[in-house]
Amino acid sequence: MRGGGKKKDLEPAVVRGFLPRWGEIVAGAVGVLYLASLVTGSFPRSKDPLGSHLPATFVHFAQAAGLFPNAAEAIIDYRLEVWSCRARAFQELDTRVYFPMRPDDKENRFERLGFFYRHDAKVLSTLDEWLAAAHDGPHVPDGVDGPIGGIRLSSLRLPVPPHGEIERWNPRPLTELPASVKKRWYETPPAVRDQRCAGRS
Amino acid sequence: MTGPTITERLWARFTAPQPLVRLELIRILVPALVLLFLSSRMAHVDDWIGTAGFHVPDLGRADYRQPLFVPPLAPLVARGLISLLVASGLGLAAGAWTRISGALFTASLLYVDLADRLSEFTVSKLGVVLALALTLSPAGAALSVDALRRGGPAMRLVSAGYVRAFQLLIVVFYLGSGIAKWRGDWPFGDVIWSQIHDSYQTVVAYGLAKVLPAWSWPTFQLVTLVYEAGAPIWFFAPATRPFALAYGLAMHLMIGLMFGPLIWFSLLMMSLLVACFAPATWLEHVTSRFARGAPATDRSGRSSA
Repeated sequence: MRGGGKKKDLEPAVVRGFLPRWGEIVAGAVGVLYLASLVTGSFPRSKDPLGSHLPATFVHFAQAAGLFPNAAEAIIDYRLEVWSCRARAFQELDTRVYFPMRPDDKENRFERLGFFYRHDAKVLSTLDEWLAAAHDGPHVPDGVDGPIGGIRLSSLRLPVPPHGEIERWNPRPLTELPASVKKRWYETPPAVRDQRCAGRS
Repeated sequence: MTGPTITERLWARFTAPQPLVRLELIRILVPALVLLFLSSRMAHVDDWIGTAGFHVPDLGRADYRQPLFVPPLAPLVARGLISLLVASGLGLAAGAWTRISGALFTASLLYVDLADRLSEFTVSKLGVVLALALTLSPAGAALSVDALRRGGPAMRLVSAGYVRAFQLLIVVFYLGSGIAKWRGDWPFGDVIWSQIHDSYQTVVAYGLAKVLPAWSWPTFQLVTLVYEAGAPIWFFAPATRPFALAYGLAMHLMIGLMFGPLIWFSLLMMSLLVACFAPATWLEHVTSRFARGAPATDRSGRSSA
């Protein structure tokens, strides 16, 4: 079909946004800033030229692209032992009872807690207190009977095998593993353990 | 009299209206996949964002792990928030009261992300950004409950920015990922091999590790590095775009098959890749089979990425 008068009618309708013009400009500017942050967020935190000038929450959502940048030096798995007031010894706890989401992989909240906060005394002492109380409350069997006096957080650092040698992932109990693959991060002070266990067994 | 310069032609192409089906597919797929990703968390809502589970205390300082302290909720409130998250996510996917659904989905997703950093991953981070972008867009104009309610002629084009934003997001995401890999161990290290031995390991990863020669792992790394760092080139040039789409889909398929929990991240990226870069005529053809009110198939090849 020809004819300039009909041309406008033949143009397909275009869906427009509901934002006013100034709203589109602001949204576009924020979008460009986010995209720039997505790139600079992949730099080490100290070398991110934008991060220090932007709100922390904004930066948090921009630090999404830098996935698995480095080779793993070891196969890491976090483990928790608790001090049994009855046995007067540390025993391995089944953390899945208290951190039930995604119980068998690294997306488990306990694994993430170890990953993010293994150096943070404030967070780990909060975990210490919380777990002592939670263990006293009703729960399904977690591998340790009776009251507990404290916790001990460790990570396993299992060697990455050479090429061609691989085993199916199969976490073994701490008691079956040598001390050389265990790295300790936090332990409840003995005085606190004794105080919590006093008169309880 | 001279014609338009290359820059003018490129700008005209960049700002030309885009196939609406791209935006609508993102609106359908993203909230659905985010909800599926979160489903394993929702099953333990009291532990996740409720007071029953352990929660990191207020660190009281600026910290990348806790940009804003958001307290856990009483059990009933937590369940109410998750109900809202699910309802609004499904509403957004269905295109029912799209702007309201999108705003509620964005807000509830933002809350759960900030409330529990321990269960937050790339899918949930990107989910907030994508949900916000969908909320501010005219998504819901087709392939939606809203389109059925409104009636009228089927629309097939949308202002460029509402599609270009998502396309740019993918390309820039890959670029950022490529830079991080380049600065990390991907050029010379043994990254992929070193990551397939822990709890992420699937039977596919185990089987491949048994049969693939040692040189294949650094080869995968280098190809992926070139793909991601060069994404702006591969996706911009029409000649390489189909290959970039195909490689991206294959790469994410393998990530999902080899690293169990990453399946949701892979599906999210694959959905975005298809919605943003697959030929629009294909997308319109497929969607027109599923829904009335879908953008009509246009065989003129008007689609442009």
